[in-house]
Amino acid sequence: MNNISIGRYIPYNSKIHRLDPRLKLFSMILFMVMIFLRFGGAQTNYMDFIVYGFIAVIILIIMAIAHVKLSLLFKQLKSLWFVVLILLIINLLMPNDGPYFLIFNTLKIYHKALYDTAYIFIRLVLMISLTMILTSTTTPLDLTYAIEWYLTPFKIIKVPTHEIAMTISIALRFIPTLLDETDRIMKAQASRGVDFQNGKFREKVKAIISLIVPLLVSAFQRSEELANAMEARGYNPGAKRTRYRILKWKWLDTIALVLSLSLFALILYVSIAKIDIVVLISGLLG
Amino acid sequence: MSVLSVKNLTFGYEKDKPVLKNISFQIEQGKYIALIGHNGSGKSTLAKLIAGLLELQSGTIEVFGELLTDKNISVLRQKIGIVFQNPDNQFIGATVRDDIAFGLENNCVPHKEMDAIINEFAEKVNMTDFLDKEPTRLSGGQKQRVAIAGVLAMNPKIIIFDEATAMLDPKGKKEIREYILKMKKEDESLTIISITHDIEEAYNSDEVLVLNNGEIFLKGTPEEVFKDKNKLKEIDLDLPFLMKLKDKLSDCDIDVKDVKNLEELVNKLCQ
Ligand SMILES: Nc1ncnc2c1ncn2[C@@H]1O[C@H](COP(=O)(O)OP(=O)(O)OP(=O)(O)O)[C@@H](O)[C@H]1O
Ligand SMILES: [Mg+2]
Repeated sequence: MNNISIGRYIPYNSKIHRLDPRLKLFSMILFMVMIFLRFGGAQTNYMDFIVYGFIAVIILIIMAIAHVKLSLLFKQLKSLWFVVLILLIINLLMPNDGPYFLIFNTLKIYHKALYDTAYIFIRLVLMISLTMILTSTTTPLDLTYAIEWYLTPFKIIKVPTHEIAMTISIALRFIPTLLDETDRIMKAQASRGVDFQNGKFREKVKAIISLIVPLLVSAFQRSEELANAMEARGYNPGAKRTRYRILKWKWLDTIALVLSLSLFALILYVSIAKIDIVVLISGLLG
Repeated sequence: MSVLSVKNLTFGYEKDKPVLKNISFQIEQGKYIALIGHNGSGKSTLAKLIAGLLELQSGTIEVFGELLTDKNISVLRQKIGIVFQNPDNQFIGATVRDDIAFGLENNCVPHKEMDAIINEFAEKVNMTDFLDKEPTRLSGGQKQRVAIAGVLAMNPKIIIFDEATAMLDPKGKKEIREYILKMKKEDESLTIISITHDIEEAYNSDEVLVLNNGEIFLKGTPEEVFKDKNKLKEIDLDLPFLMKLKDKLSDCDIDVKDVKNLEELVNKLCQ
């Protein structure tokens, strides 16, 4: 229960931390789109890797500015090797053609299978690093405010954006509390002889039920008390209220926005024009 | 002046099963009221009715002479603050700062003024160093202090503590008690209703209200209420330590009838 470091905010006062969450969310989406583009011609596949390398370098730079440690990324990637293995097996079993090499003189390993695996793996790593940068430099609450801001246009069609944001922020607030509680109930049930690790399927189901039922009961109890506490302090969903946290757009945000948009434009151009760096450079060299 | 006046209040969560039966009482401004009674006697229900969290069924509640109705509930609610028992379930904000701000946001306090108010009330409960901490990184006592700051920041005239210290250790209990007494001292006009199982606290209050099975069993000053020890025994309520001691001493023919507190008793015995 204690090693849930994925998606955790890491307090630090870096430039990236101080950026507006709206910008960070937007930039992350731009990066995600970039990762999903295809590059180079149909015949060559090295362009994908060149561009991914380029994006990886930028991500590394951002991580350095944000003081997000590489070791944190590796910790998260550790759980990924299993996924890679499955990917590899699936790709190897897929019917393929083109160049291949043999192992043990019988097993055909197509180059393309290896290439596809590497391709998906790199995409995954890039996406994980991006989300990690976002979540470790932005508090969940700030993210909620950013989401609420993006949802404001939907207010016109009566989407309760403020209530959605309030719900998300309370959910975020209670996740650690409920995790603690899960831990406590598991220990309490274990001391009564419930075994969460071993046992047959039937026993496992029983064990899970012995965890879920008290957890749900307490969650409902909590939600009722929470509703009372909120109402007692004057909360009224429909009513007007002022805000303590106000998102402020700063110069740095504008600069960061221009940078990410330019990068996006560049990458998009490279993708659409099917630019091949190798051809380009050899052309330039004569 | 009576800040709170309850008349013929009857309430039940289910039909024909009243939890409160025809309750009437008045509370004067600036008093410290202890509300005691067994589990399930209806204390929390009464508190929620006063705070406007439950809808009235029959009877009336007047706050500062104004009848509590559906229309003015949100206005009158601003005059009443309530601190609940469970420190976790009343922490709404993501950090201490946000939690104190929550009530201010609801009361439409302008953004510019919020930080000053938050700092002022965090200071009052000694939580200035924890302003940016999340609830999971605070102790139960610290969370209750935040809850008190959050309520105080809304500037209520009546504060209800519904067993606010019941989930804390002795040190935390003592601390919270001290903060309550401190804020009472700073603002004499503040009225406090403390729901408690702590007989000593009740003994030290201005007025005691004993609830039993949804009815007011006894009410009056601590001396009046605890004098009636046979009546209290009837419903198995404990007596304060001083009263018990005085009883035992009078059994041994030592006359301590008119001592008021432990100190006087010690002095008398040492004579
Ligand atoms: N939300 C509810 N729905 C139905 N019945 C309730 C509800 N809350 C309380 N009750 C019932 O009302 C009665 C009085 O409860 P209340 O919580 O007011 O007692 P209390 O004096 O505060 O007790 P405690 O000392 O345990 O806090 C109890 O019998 C309880 O079961
Ligand atoms: Mg209660």
